[in-house]
Amino acid sequence: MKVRFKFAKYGPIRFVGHLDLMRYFEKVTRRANIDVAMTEGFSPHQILSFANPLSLGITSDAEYVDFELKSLDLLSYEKEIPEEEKIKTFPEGAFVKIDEECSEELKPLWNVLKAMDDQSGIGFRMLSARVLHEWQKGEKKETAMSLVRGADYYIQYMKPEKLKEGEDFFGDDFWNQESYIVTREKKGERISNGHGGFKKSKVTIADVDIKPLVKDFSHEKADFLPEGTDIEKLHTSDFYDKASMHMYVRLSTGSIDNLKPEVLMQSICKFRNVEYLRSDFRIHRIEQYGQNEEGGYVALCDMNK
Amino acid sequence: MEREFPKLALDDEVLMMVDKPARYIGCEVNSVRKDLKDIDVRFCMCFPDVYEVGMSHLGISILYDMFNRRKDVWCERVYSPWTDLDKIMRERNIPLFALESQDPIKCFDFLGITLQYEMCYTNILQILDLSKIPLLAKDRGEDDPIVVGGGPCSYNGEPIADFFDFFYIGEGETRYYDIIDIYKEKKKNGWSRKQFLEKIAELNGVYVPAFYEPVYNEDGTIKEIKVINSHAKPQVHKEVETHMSDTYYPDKPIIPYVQAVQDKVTLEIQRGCIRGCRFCQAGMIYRPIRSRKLDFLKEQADKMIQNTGYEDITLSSLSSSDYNKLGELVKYIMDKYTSRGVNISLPSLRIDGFSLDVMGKIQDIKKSSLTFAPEAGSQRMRDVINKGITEEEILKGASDAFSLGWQKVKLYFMLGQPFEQEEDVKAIPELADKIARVYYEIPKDQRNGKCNITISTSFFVPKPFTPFQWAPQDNSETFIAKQQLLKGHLMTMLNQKSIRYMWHDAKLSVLEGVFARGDRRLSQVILKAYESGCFFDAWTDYYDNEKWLKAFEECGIPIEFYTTRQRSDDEIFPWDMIDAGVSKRFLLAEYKKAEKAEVTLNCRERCNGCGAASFGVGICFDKIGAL
Ligand code: SF4
Repeated sequence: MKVRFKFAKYGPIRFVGHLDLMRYFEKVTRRANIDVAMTEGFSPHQILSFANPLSLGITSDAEYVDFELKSLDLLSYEKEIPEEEKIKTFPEGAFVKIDEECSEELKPLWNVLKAMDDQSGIGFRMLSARVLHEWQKGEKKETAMSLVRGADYYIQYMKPEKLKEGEDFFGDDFWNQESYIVTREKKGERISNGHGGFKKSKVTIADVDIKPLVKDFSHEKADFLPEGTDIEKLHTSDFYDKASMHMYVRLSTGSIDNLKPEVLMQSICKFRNVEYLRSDFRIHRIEQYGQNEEGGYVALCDMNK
Repeated sequence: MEREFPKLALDDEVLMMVDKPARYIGCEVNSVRKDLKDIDVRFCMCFPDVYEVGMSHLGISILYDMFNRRKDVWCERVYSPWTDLDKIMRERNIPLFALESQDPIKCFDFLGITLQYEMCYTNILQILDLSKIPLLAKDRGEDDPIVVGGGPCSYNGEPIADFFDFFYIGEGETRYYDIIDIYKEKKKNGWSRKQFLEKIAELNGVYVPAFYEPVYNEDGTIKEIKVINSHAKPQVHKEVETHMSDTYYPDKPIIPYVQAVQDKVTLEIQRGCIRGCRFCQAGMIYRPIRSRKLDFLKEQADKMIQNTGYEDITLSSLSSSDYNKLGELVKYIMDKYTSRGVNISLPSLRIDGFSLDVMGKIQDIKKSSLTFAPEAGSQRMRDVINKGITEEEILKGASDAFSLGWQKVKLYFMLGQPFEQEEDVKAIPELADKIARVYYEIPKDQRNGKCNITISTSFFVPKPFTPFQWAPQDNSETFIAKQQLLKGHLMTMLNQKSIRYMWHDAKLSVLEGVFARGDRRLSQVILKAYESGCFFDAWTDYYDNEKWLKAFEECGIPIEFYTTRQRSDDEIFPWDMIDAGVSKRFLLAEYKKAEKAEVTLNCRERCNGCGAASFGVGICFDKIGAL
């Protein structure tokens, strides 16, 4: 069965890269004695996949990893659980949160989540788990990665001293524009040179409007954010100045349209005529979303597929 | 939210500028955090190379665990900042820090540097420099950390003697607690640095270079090594762990986020080696061989795999095939962990029926390559180096391997070992060719296309405490000529198309040779090279031979004195105040036997009275070497 885990990645761990995450999780599940399904072959590895990768330096309360589990049992070296006694099926959509009581029926799922949380390193927290839809033959399979359409971020600007007196980095003069321009370098593409080899076309520089990819924004907690969002309680990096300039945004994310928060910040910097430096910002991902049939955003942890 | 992690020493701007910033944040699973108010002594362990290399080292892992078992000690780690961060730290005046607490190294009581290879010497200076600790021990003040060196290169620490307060000679498990206790007394009684060093100089295994003074002859050799402090011993004996199955071993090794070079847990199954290869320093300085008990190893494997979740475990030793319970151990681990996707790796196996059987179980025969290390091509040469393996055995091993399905073979050789002749060099491709012939003797329908043989040669560097410590080292012209000879001769082989040749750069080997058998006068050369910008010399991309040559020239120190010179039988060596257990008399006898290509039986077959029996343990008393 497929189970989607939601986890927070924060503090110094914001500098742990996406590739290292995979190796981290393979070890967590092994330490936690989770019955993970493995690929076949001489060097089998666990079957897992992540949603949208998080850039280095960003903290998050909404990272997702889907595991293929053989059962919801916690394995033991002392006593082997007979195959027929293993919990190999579980109601589709079953959902547990780490810090909420769950019913007796949901306990096996919660135990798995808890075992993984207990084995989490500092800067990681397992938050919730949901049993996903079992894809049948003929159905169009979705993965956490392919589902993602949007993400919410909380962004702080740490260098108000770079601005003009009285200027607000996130001020409405920026948001009210017809378009949000960012200068993008398009890397050279590989073009056949006609002799069986390739040459690279020139790097082109072009202005791009990213406004269509900004789905929502607010200076204060707003309705589009998940219920109860409280930046004081989120798993951010602990040691930052509580700067006053901040913003909540929802951005198109995923394989169709993808706007990284850093790129939006570049656009604002360009507008304000200040140099863009990634470390002038603290960025926290609040949630990742898929879309329902009506086009409404649904948090990945609330989706059954 | 509770603060479970320290404030990072580097700010975000810096961390986002450098490659792999997770090298510098600590916070790894199983790394140790303590409350400073319970701590009397802060020890920082250093591997003077980049994080991924340093994190692969077993010795530090053992000592880290050992120190942190004490409530009053907090042991942390530091590695060489990579060149990108190094530059930023210098520009912005950021002091080097330890990973766990992120505190500056300068506020530690000890900085312990492990010395695994000579080419890290300039990195030691980088560490000291970035930590703002005076590079020369004599310039250090009462508040500076005590800088201690350990590991194989400390057996001849003379080229870096000026940078260290003391060297720990031998195995770390035995004496460090005493040193910590004496340090606590120093703090309590307000002793000076020097008083502390005098106290510990009385301990076995402690070598304080400032308490010794070499006197030189006119020809540059050593006339005498004077002991100039009454607390120092004329002979410093190495420390040996005598209870291999009842000693410190990490239950919970640290799991790095940045992938280490050795991305696995390491289980040391035995220490030392029975073989007595004459070029091998490890084979001499870790004598006598001591095996760990099977039960200890099983328990330790369980703990380490379960506490880390690693998918790979290495059973490490200098010659794993000589561990008599290897089959049982491998079976135990496989039975218990294969279903969870855990693999075993077994380096340093001899190729025989048993090893092939084991390896066939733990690796994918079709994909993996089999590694042989005959070290020399001709039988005469293998006898010179006392490799203890015949051509017949090699070909038999290859034949068995091929019939089991292997078709990739890697062969390791050394060029430039003492008494090597042209024929011996030529014998290397010849041996590879013979192995290929063995393969092509298999009927065509039973084999799987071509075989794939790789010859890899490195250049031999004579090391102290080996029978070859008297021998001249080849210069780089000779090295390269031998390489060319090998290459040319390979072209004439029948199966040359199935054989690839890979080689190493000669320049590094020359420098390594200088330091391996160097003396105290080399400290100034290292300092000069470092000041002119040399570091990360072990990384070919960063190694700058010109700068090194200039440093030697400016100090008026001839390289050949250390490398190509034949040392006389009775020469006093710079490292003669160290007693590694194996006697100089035994080593010299072995050197003489090498010249006559006479072999010496291994410790299990017969004791050759090397001197290591003085430790009272291991194979010298029990022919299995189990404790
Ligand atoms: S004393 Fe004998 S048995 Fe012991 S290590 Fe030396 S040669 Fe081997």
